[in-house]
Amino acid sequence: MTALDRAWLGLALLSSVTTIVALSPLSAPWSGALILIFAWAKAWLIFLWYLELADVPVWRGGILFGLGLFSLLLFGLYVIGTLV
Amino acid sequence: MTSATAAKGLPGELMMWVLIFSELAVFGAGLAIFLALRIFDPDGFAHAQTALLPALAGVNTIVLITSGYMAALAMKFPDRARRLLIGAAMLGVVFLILKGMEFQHKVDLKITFETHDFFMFYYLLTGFHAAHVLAGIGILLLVAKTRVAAHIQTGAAFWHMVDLVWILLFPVIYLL
Repeated sequence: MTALDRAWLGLALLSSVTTIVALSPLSAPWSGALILIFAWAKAWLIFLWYLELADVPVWRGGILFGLGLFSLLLFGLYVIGTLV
Repeated sequence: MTSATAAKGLPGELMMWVLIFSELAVFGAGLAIFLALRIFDPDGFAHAQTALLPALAGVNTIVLITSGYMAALAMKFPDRARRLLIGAAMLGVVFLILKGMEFQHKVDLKITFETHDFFMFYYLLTGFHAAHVLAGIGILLLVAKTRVAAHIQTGAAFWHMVDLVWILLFPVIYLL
C-alpha cells in the first residue's frame, strides 16, 4: 500500500468518523472541536499527499501553521456562537 | 529558472499555487463571516441548518476525495492517466448530480437566498464551489486529452483545491 493509498483511506475514515460525531449526542463545543480537528486533518492529508508537499518541509510547515491558525479562528467563532 | 525552483521546491506550477491559496482565502473568509453572523442569530442558524441534507453532503465528501485520489494516481501512473482522469471527472459529475438534488430539495421547500442569512451563504458558498467543480471537470477532461505530464499535474492540483475547499466548507455549513 502506497502513501497515496493510505491518504485516501485516512480521508475516508476521517469523513466517516466526522459523520458519526455529528450524529452522536456529544454536545457543543466538544462535537464542534472534534469536527474541526478532523477537517484540519483531512486538509492536511490533501496538502501532504494529494498536492505532494510531504517532501517540501518549508512549505509544509508554513501551511500547517496557517491551516492551524485558520482552524482556531473558525473554532473561536463557533465557540462564541455556542456561548451567546 | 523554472517556477518550481522560484518557489523553493513547490511541486508544479507556481501560478496554480497562487490560485490555490487565493481560492482558499476567499472561501475561508466566507466561512469565517458565516460563523461570525451565526453569533448574532444562533437559533435562526440552527433552525435553518435542519433543512440541509448532511447525509447526502457526506456521501459527496467520499465522492470528491475518491475523485481526488484518482487524479493523484494519474500523476503517478502516466500509462493509466487518461482513464484515471476521466474517472475523476465522472465522479465530479456524480458530485454535481447529488448537489443538484440537494438544491432541488431547497427549491421544493421554497428556500431562497432571501429566506435567511444562513441560506444566502449556503447558496453562495456551495454554489460557487459547484461552479469550481464544473470548471474542474472541464480541466480534467482537457488534460486527459493532452496527456502531458506537466498539464496533468496542474489539472490535478486544481482538482485538489476543489477538494480542499469542500473539506473545509462541509463541516462548517452542514455540521457545526
